[in-house]
Amino acid sequence: MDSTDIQLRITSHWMRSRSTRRSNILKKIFSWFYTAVMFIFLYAPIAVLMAMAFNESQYNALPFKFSMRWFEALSKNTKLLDATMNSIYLAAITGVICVVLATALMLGNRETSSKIKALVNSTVVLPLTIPWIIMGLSLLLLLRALGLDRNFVMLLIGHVVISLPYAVLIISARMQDMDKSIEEASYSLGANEWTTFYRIIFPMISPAMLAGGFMAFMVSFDNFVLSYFLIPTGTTTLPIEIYSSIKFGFTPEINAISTIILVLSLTIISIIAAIMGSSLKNLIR
Amino acid sequence: MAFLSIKNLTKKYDGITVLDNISLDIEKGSFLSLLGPSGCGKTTTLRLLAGFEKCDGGTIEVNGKIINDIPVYNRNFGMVFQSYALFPHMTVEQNIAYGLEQRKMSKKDIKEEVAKAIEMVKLTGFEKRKPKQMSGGQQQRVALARALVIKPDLLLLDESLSALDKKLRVEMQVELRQIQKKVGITTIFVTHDQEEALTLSDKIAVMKAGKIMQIGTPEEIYETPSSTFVASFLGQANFFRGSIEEKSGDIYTLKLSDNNTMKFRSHEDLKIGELRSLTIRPEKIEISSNEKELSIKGKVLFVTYVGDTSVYRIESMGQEVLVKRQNSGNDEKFNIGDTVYLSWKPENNLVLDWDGE
Repeated sequence: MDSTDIQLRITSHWMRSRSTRRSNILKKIFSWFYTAVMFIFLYAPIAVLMAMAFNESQYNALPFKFSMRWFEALSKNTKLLDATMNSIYLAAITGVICVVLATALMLGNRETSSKIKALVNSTVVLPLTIPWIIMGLSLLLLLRALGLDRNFVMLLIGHVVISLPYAVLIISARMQDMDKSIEEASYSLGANEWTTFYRIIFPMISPAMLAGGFMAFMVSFDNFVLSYFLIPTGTTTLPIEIYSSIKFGFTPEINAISTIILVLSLTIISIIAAIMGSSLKNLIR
Repeated sequence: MAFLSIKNLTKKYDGITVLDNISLDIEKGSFLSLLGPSGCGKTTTLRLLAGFEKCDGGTIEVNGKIINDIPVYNRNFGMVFQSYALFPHMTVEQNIAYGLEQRKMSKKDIKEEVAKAIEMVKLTGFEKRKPKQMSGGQQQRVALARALVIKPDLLLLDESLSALDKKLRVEMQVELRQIQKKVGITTIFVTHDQEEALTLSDKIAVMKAGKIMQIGTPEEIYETPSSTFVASFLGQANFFRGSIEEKSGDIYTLKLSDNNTMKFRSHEDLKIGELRSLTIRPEKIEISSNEKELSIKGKVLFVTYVGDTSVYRIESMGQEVLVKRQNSGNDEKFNIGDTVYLSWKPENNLVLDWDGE
């Protein structure tokens, strides 16, 4: 904006507080600029990735020329599609297991003494601080020690271990917010533990369960390191497939599948947000 | 026989005794308040009654049957919580119907009962609202209706009015008492608000540090408190603490700690040398510019005009004495610095044990 222009507007309205007004405008401009930079920093790479999915060039080269050829190629690339399905399958089971475990754990944990509570909370969240590479290595060594081959169950266990803390954090945050007397009210009205759970507690924590499950899903879906260590021979997941395709010849089919996944997950989040409405907003707050 | 009978109830948390061997009897249909400062054990008593916690000793009997081991959901006690604890995901109707559904009532009967309960608490038209869309007073009514609709044997109220503003609280007090009388339900009310306890209760149990200090009707507790704690917790009181020095007939001389002495009349048989606390309520003291028999001399420190009454702070006997006086319009008025004489009828003073406070 032209500085004389600003000056004019200031003089007409704010004769007395010219300098403060001016610094306020500068502040505003600066904060907008800062936000824009942060935004670009966060999302520009993703935007480029998505744009290149629709680019004719095989080497993500410019100039941009619109084409759907990579989506077509993708539809014939059974290896990549299988890997994606494997990832979704693994992440979905991980998500469900994590939600059930986290919910049961946090429900039980409320009844125990404060010492046990603290112990459980820290033990469950501890895997967050253990590097995945060490986790993967130790699970692999465990397999060796047991004399087993790499198998799906061990892969799943690994994924559950690393995803569980996220589900626990989200679900326990919600439970701590919950007024314990609401539950007590249910008991006093004649409902037993089971009825109280499915009529009172479950409806109140279900948004958190959904969010926690989704979080666990994403952590598992995204994980490369652990899968690389534990994947049974002959199978593959999407992150592993992307990694190897970088080594052996990268095509924008990867961009295409990434774009689809991004759009899908955004859609899912929007749907959850729409269904849960205010309760999810409360959760985020 | 009492409807509800608590015997030697004891509760400890991590080795700390919060309820110390309390016993209490409640008649059917009566309204009892547990009154005391925070940490006195009143809420713990209520939670033990409700069954949310297990006691470490003693028994709770209802109609002569010990209920210690009956789980909460089989006790049939209604409870109204301080936070109301309404189910946030249910409408008013659903909240109230919840307890009836647990009792396997038919849909038709539930509908009828819920409608009656809603009418009783004057919430007709609010059936489909969620708790969040209602004011505190309305939520309070829903909580009350939800607790009463199951026709409980006992109604437990945990500081249920304290979250409301003053005006609403007074309205709810009246309504609560009316509903309680109409339904005829035995009620236990936990509160730290002495005014609330006085207006609502048939009987008050004043608690302190896990013990019951005194049980009685509001009038008994106010007029004849058994200890200085009860006297000072319920209403205001002036205490003259000292030892009995002399006795002639029914007139005693009390020597206060700063060597002031005062004479008072009492029908009690007091021994020379006993440490006692002469206790007089502010509104029982007469204030006059003329000396009377057994009156004490003082100087007006401060006068507060409160509309119907005036409150005088008077320095007398080396301490500050509170006097409350009705403003009838043609009384003698006193100003700061005036010398006055304070007197009271002998039946209005209480000679309590000096419990070191």
